[in-house]
Amino acid sequence: METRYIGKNVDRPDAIDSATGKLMFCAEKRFPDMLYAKTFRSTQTHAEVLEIDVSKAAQLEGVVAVATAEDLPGVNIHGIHALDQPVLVPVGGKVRLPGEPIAVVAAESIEIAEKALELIEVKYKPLEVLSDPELACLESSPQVHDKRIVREYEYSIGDVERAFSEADVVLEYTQHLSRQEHAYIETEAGISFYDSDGILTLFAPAQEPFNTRQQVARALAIPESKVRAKVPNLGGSFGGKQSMTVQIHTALLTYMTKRPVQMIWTREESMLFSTKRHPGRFYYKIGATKEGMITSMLVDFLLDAGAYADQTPGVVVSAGATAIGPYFVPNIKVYGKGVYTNNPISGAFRGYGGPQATISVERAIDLLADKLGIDRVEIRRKNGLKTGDKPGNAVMVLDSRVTLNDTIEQALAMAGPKPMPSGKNKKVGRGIACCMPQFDVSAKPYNGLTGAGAEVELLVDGSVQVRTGVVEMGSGIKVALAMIAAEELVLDMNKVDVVLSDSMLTPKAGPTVASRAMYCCGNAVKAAAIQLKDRVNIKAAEIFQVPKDLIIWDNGKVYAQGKEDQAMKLSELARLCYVSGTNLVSSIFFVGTHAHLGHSFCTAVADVEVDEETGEVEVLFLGTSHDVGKMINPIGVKSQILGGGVQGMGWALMEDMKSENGQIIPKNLHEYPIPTANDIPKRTEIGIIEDPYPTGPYGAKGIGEHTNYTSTPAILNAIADAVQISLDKFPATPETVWRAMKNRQSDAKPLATCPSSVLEPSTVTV
Amino acid sequence: MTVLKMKLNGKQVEVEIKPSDLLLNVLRDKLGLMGTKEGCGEGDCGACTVILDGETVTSCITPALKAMGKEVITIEGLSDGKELHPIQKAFVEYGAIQCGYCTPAMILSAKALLDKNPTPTREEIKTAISGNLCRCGGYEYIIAAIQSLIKP
Ligand code: FES
Ligand code: FES
Repeated sequence: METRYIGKNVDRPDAIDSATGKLMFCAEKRFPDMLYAKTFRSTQTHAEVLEIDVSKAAQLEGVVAVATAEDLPGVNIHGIHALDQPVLVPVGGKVRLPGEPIAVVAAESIEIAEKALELIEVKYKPLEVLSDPELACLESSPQVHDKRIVREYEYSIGDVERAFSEADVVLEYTQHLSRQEHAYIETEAGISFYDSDGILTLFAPAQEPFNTRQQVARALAIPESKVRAKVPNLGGSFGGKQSMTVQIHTALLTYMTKRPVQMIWTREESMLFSTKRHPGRFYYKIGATKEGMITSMLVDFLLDAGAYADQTPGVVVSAGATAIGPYFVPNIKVYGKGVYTNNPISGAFRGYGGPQATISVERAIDLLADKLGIDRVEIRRKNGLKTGDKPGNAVMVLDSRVTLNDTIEQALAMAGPKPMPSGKNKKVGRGIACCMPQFDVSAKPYNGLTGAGAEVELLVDGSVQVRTGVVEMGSGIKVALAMIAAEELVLDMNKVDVVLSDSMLTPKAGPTVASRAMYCCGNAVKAAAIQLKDRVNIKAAEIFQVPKDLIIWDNGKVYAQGKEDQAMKLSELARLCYVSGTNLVSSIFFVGTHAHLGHSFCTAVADVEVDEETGEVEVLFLGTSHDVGKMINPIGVKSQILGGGVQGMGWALMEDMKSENGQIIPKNLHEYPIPTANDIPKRTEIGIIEDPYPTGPYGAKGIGEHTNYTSTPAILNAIADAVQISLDKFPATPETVWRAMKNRQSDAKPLATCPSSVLEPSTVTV
Repeated sequence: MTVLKMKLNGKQVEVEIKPSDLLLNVLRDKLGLMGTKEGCGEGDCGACTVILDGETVTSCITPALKAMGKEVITIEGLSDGKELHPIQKAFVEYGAIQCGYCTPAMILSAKALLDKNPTPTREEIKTAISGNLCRCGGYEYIIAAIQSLIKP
């Protein structure tokens, strides 16, 4: 089908603003009379708060307000999946991790606000710290919350025990996962003020504005209708800016002072108190025939939720649903849980538990292949899911034609022959990793997700405005939605504007999460544009005296088929519609028809070179094949794939947000390095398989998170292939690799033992 | 208070500062040039990069007085307001921009490189932008955008 924009590279208008320095983030807003806010944070890890004295701070000249829990008019609680986190820790309450907010200050300058923090005194009664998630369920361990387990996951099909006893080979393996920091370059920042209607307005990061509105209103005990939350441009989020950070604190200080208040977190605050990717461990027991057919899989996983539930309930379920990998396995038993500790709070991070599961299962599959003496690619080809298969524990049907093997073949073709080592002490290895990421299709309320609302309005000057509640965090959803409206209304791109993520202006559309914005809002905008055109065509048919389906829209002109010479300007038609009572705002609330999530396949192949003397790893090649349905804006899709791949590479090789006794160790971006341009793969290839997904807008599937699943395990597998080390712990820093090589011989111990929880899963609490 | 005199984006400016003021804060808060971003305040991320007498500096750790009598170029100084600067154009076209937070600084690092070395190799490009962290895009399209500006 000939398209106007869909499937073509289109420049992002917001990228032009970034390139010229005009794109405004929260830290750039300034209001007259604005106050600057700072947070007093706990230095203790786990302690009861006995006394809070802010009197000296409040008296400091230039301090306008100091707020503690006592000043909060509403409920002192917030949370995404579970309400278990105080907005400000009160006297008599307890802090559960370092950095927890106890008081917030608004002052005439940042310097004064900082000085005020030094004058705040808090007395604590220290409590025993729980930092090892493996000990979280022991009666003798310190209790962080009333319950110890945030969420459990259980799934079982067939008879794993019998299948193990009948298997030719049984492999056991335990993978440990390190904690990853989102490390978006923009730290958390927000600004709040009262507008001229008395609406408390908040510009602050989030992945949807409506959740912010709800949480702020609850904490301040004001109706949601009195709060406007707008999420402006985000300098990266990757799941990390979903929870409450600056929002309630900033709003509270505006509520108290009636003045605009801005709060900007320092990098250290961001590292201290933003959520992280869940660390944890995955135990696998896999049974197979000697031909390499997997017959059974038992998985026991543990995720460290940290001090509050945040997104753990959802992440546990998502990890469980991904734990089997993209393979057909007849006998499955998966048990997993997320537990409270006094560690940094774990939240959503691109893939939502799926990457942790994917790394683990993909390492285990390699080890299984080795044990069987079968090629590591072959075992994946043999067991990969195919159209029509009912995948194990994922709640879905494979309803698209692309199979795992299509992505495997494409990734291998891109890789070509394995490179030769560049020197004497260098070893080259190749790794492969596969997965079947899922994406939300607004089908049913799932983990707080919802349908997607969108409005398309035709203005009387012939321009069009699209409004929907999702957030742009850099992935290019804004331009993609403009492309869809321009496509359907046969308009030039510069006639279409998109307004996003404003609780007062845009319809509720659920969050930008679960790789859903393109699918859900894309469908909504498309349907709204079609509805609008149809409505306007009724008027046009009347004017041109022809049936409605003979009306042609063409670049801002409208005419009856064959009568181009009598064309009317769209602006004139819009005006005539308006004066004769046609509603020029169309509105759609898209709800998907599936009874399950959408899915796609992905395979990465990585080549690495390991220096045997230093343990240094160089990524020579990273090639990823993605089953995307249809690319709306190809350059946007590919740029996502590149970025997600490098983020995964960082986790594999260098990133570890370590904590000791609950205290984070890296506190800045040199203690926590992320990949620079010097670290990227020497050669990168992107493989795209386009087979339009019947229910996606123009056939599009989700992609955002999918890019972040396979580069980590492919690189780890490549390192293991190069120098035969276990890598049951990573990141594979030079030191880790060097030590593992040194211990290679003495490493004869069994790879894993079964954690007891597999045998006696406790009852599920939802 | 001292008066800082410098050539900023082609124009001579004078601004009152405290001797302890950092260049980043003077640019953003005293001169209203918000295109220069802060990502860490410690010289780690490069989001605050500006060009000082032809060399890139991280303005978050550069005392403003260092710019006295010198020439400073920020992202606002690249385009004439009508046409995009060729580097800006290339970044947009090559998909080098996602969230855009690292972008102004990244473009300035590219400019400082190309001004000195109009035909950099891939390795030279990587080194020139290695002080600018981008968490979104994985650098490959940034490199491609810069390479597109090399005249054969
Ligand atoms: S803000 Fe200056 S280097 Fe990060
Ligand atoms: S585009 Fe987001 S940090 Fe570079």
